[in-house]
Amino acid sequence: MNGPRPPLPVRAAKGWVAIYTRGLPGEVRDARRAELRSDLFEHMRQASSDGQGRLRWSLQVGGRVVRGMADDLWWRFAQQAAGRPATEVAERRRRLLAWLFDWVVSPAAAFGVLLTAWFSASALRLAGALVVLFVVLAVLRMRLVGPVDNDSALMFGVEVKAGADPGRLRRLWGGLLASGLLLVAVRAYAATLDPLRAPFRLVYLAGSLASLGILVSVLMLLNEYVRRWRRQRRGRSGE
Amino acid sequence: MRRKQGALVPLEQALLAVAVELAKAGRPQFHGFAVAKELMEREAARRLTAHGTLYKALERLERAGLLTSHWEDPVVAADEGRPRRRLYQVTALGERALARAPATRPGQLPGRPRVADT
Repeated sequence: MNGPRPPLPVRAAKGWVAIYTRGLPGEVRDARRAELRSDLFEHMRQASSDGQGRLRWSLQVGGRVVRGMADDLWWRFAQQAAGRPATEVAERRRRLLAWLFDWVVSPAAAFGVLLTAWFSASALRLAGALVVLFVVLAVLRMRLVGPVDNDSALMFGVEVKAGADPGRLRRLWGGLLASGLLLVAVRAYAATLDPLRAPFRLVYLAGSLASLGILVSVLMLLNEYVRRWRRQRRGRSGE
Repeated sequence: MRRKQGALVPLEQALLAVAVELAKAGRPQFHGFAVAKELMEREAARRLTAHGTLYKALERLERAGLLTSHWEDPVVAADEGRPRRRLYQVTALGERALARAPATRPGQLPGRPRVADT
């Protein structure tokens, strides 16, 4: 049955509900979609009987969609978690925290500390800042996350129990190499900051840190997808 | 911030209050948009509650046993030429939870009662 094309806000709302309910169990997904469809219809009918202008109604619907997005996403996560055993949910949360710590928090903190130390310039201060940072990051990660045996390498190779495990040693070397590269990057970055005046320097620094965080997150996300794809391919070829 | 188990947020308490008022007015069953509209008028708010916020709150109230819901007969909806509605109704537990909740001023969302106390 082809009726007239629904107005844009309705299509946007339906598109959004289709996105955040995708992959959920059929019953849950269909119920949420049907409930929203009914809500949009009632809203449109009410607006029409109140003689409300199309623009005002469109803004209302659009606003309701946007303001509810965070709750929609939380609802989705809750639905997904409801289908899994509690231990699995906790383990996933721990791994996510570890990942965030290793690839977003640690690099951003390291970059900030190193940059600050670089401007105060003595080699001793720089080494001191690095040592303090190593210890703080290692302790924080152990306290917050605990030992997580995942594939993500710890920045700077800070691993309290590195031991003689070849995998762990490889990560340690990888971390040390990352530290070296980071130092070079910080040096180059610091040079670009010199000509800037103080207020601009702060804005530049904040923007750069945010960009770095986003960049690292995107790279890690891509990496995760590639790993999954490889795993799936291995699984298929093993069948 | 993680909320305590059994605690009601102000929106959930306001939804219960509207549900009870509707029941007293002879409309014990209501759908999502109807309650959002009633809530806006009751609170003299400028905006309707967002979809995600509204339906998450209704679902939580239902899980806590303070509301029940069912999908209406598709024939009724088809006769009226509209999509099926999910109809909610306040339970006795919900009414008790609201009765024990702190009173609120008009135009202000209520405070936080404890479901565990009901």
